[in-house]
Amino acid sequence: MENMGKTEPLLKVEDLVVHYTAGGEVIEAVNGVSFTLDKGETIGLVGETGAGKTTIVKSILRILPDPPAKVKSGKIYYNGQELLGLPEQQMRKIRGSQISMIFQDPMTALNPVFSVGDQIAEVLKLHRNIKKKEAYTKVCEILEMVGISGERYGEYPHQFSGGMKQRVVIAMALSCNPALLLADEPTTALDVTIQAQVLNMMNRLKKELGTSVIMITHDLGIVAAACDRVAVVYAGEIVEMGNKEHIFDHGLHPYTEGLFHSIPSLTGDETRLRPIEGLPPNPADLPKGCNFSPRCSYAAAACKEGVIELREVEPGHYLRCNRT
Amino acid sequence: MTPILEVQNLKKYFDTPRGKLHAVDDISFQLERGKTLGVVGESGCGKSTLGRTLLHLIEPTSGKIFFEGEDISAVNRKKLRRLREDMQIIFQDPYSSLNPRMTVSEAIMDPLKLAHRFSKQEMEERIEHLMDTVGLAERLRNSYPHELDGGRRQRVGIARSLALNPKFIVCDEPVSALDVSIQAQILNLLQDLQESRQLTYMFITHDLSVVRYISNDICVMYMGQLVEKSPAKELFKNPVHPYTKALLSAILVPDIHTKREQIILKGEVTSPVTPRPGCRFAPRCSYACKNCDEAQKVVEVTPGHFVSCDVATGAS
Amino acid sequence: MAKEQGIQNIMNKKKESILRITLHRLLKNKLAAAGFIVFLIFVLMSIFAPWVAPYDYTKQDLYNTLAGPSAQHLLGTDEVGRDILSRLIYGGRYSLRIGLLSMALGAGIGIPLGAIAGFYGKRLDDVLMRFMDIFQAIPNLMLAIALSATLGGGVNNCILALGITSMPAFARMTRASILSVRGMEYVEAAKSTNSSDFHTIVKHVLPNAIAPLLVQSTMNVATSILNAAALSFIGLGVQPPLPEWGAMLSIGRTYIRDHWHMCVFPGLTIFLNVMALNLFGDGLRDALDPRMKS
Repeated sequence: MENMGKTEPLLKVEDLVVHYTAGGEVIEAVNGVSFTLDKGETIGLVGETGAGKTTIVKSILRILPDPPAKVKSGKIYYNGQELLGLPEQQMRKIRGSQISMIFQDPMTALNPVFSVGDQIAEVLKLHRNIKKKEAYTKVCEILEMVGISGERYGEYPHQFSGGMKQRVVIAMALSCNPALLLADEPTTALDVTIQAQVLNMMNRLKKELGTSVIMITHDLGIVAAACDRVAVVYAGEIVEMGNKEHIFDHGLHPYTEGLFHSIPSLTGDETRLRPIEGLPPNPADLPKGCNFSPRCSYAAAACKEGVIELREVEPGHYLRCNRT
Repeated sequence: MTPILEVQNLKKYFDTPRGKLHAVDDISFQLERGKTLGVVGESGCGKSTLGRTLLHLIEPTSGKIFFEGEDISAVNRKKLRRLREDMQIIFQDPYSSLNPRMTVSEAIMDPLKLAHRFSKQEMEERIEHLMDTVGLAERLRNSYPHELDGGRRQRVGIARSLALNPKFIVCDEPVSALDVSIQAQILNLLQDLQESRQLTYMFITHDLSVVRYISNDICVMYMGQLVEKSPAKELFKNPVHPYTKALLSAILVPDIHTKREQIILKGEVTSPVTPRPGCRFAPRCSYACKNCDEAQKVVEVTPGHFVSCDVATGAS
Repeated sequence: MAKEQGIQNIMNKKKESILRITLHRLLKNKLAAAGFIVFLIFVLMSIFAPWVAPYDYTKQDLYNTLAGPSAQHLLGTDEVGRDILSRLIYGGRYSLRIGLLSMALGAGIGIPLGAIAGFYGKRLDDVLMRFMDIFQAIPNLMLAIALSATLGGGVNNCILALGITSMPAFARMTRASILSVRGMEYVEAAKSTNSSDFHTIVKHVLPNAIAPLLVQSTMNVATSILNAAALSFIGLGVQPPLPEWGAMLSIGRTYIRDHWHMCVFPGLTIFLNVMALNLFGDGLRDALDPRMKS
């Protein structure tokens, strides 16, 4: 899974397998996911609810609730260092300062009884040894960076609108200038016009700070606007991966195709959408062979058995399908 | 042909400790039978309040509502009962719009029971028919909401709203909480139902590609005001109001080749409590001028395309 | 014809499932089942007391007072030689009756009032809750004492006093539950399909608000039994020679140093009943919740 670059990738996920055990059932949430991320690159993890995207990302940060989640196997290398085997003490040093995460719902991600300035300062104090006065200046700088006046340091979350709250959350995540940012649907809960503002800001900051980003989303529009590479996730596996041109101009996997057809276009004249038939599989009872085969209009007998590997069909473009 | 629904100068104000909240402010429009009116806007624009006011789930403050030519602005209990059979609503959240202690068949049966005119046998037959119509398998009859996924729950909600054969349905963001592929299935279902039952929809959403696809006409709302109304495809080809332009420019299309100029709005949404006179979008608008403090005239720029902005329409 | 038969089958099948399912779930929960059985045993014992108790509970044996447990008197005798075991068995008739009926009274008044306050809100809510405040401002036991003193002694007045005392807690809890359910969309959906307020409250709101109330009810029975004991102690409530558990417990206090059995056995009985009820109440709440998978 090496990229063509000569330098080591910033992040390398190798054959990650994560299971949840609930009520005696084993839920195969992530089934052998591998991908890499270079410095300064943004990869989008696209898929629907339950595909396993959040689980993958939480595994990187090692914040999966254990129980019921368990990383069964796989390795995650960050800057060459393996994370899954790292003692918690050292992992804590990485969380928040080297790798940080933005969660989906800004309404609940902020603590309502502390001022926003204090919440950002807390992150700084945890990871840097700085005095109060210095922290105050730094926090104001960070707030300005995300487009909020430094004078609002002492205000509380309820005094901010949804979009502003998300900016604060982003400010917190970026305060220690992490090399890797994990963003879990950062703009889903926001209005369209606010979403545009926030994504613009994130794009700008990414460039300024050189941050690499894993962006989880189900919205292909966001992927087009904010990501360099794309990994399409279905039932705990990556079914297609490549750069933007590969996925948007000639996506090959039937699921990718289905996703594009489910969205009404803004210029077309279709009178009927072509949704993907059926429902995503039960992760506690995955089908034999290709996970997508029960819903696939191209499914052949060979698709219903055996293991279908992720193969490189052209440089940088990977596909898990029998069709080519 | 009388439009099935006509709304004139509808207003809904809420009393808050800080003053009057203008949720819906002076909205007027007409809706033809069998058509879909899309209502778009961002959070706080009043679109959900509008839908609920039409159904008297919230009482309007002033203005007139006509259903099939009849004035239903103020109704007594008896009339409301009858009206509720003709006018129904589908909710956004398939997780909280179903009673967690009622099975699928119980949920669909509830409105039938309340009509007090169906025998047990008739009700069961209707339920079977409805479940089939919305694509729910027979075996799900005794399932509870938590056992179903979002798409199926939404189908239950749709079946429930169809139970009494309504003519008009307010769809309040019916697919926003669903995955993309399920969204498409439900949209197709709604279209099929419209065709087979001659239904009229008011489709409230914030998703612009969905609203363009499913609506005949679209109303754009901003902070309780109706800023633009136009046939769907025309709105996207030729938006006139500055807010509509900004809104459309903010859409992110799943296409890597089209370059779009994004109009970034300055500032934040202002408070709907005792709002400024005139156009409420003015503080964030790059074309704002003194005239924007006055009430704006509604101008028909092309047939069926109405805009409420003196600067954009040149009516000063 | 076959189709009609099919529909009939479905209708019948559904009706029996709810009861079956609840019972099945309840029995599967071992703790709850144990609680239910223990409580049932006590109830049955008190109902069939004349056949179960070895002695008449008023029979005194002045040559054998304050005796410890023995083969003749399994739990010993009290200060006038009466068999404690028999008194405990008969005592169930009073204690359990007081506990259950006062809970029923408190719930019967409190829950509807709380439901109305929570559902309609505004002025009605204010008036009802201020009314409840008056009762809650006075410490529970003081209120029970005041009411008992006014009404007089005896089992029925005891039930009345304790019932009124427990009413505000039920009202408040119901109101809180209703407030949280009232805002749910399925309640709005019910309104949009012509549901009357009564139908909405009974069919949609209450069933979803009932979980904390079930637990409250079982705990309330326990508190009532204990409160009845306190009342007996100060001469109100149940009068001697009636063998009410709490009264026996209070009297036993005086003898605790040398004759522990007079205190311990009534105390143990109360404890077992309260525990059994709590476990049962928890289990019932879980069994009724469609979301709890078995």
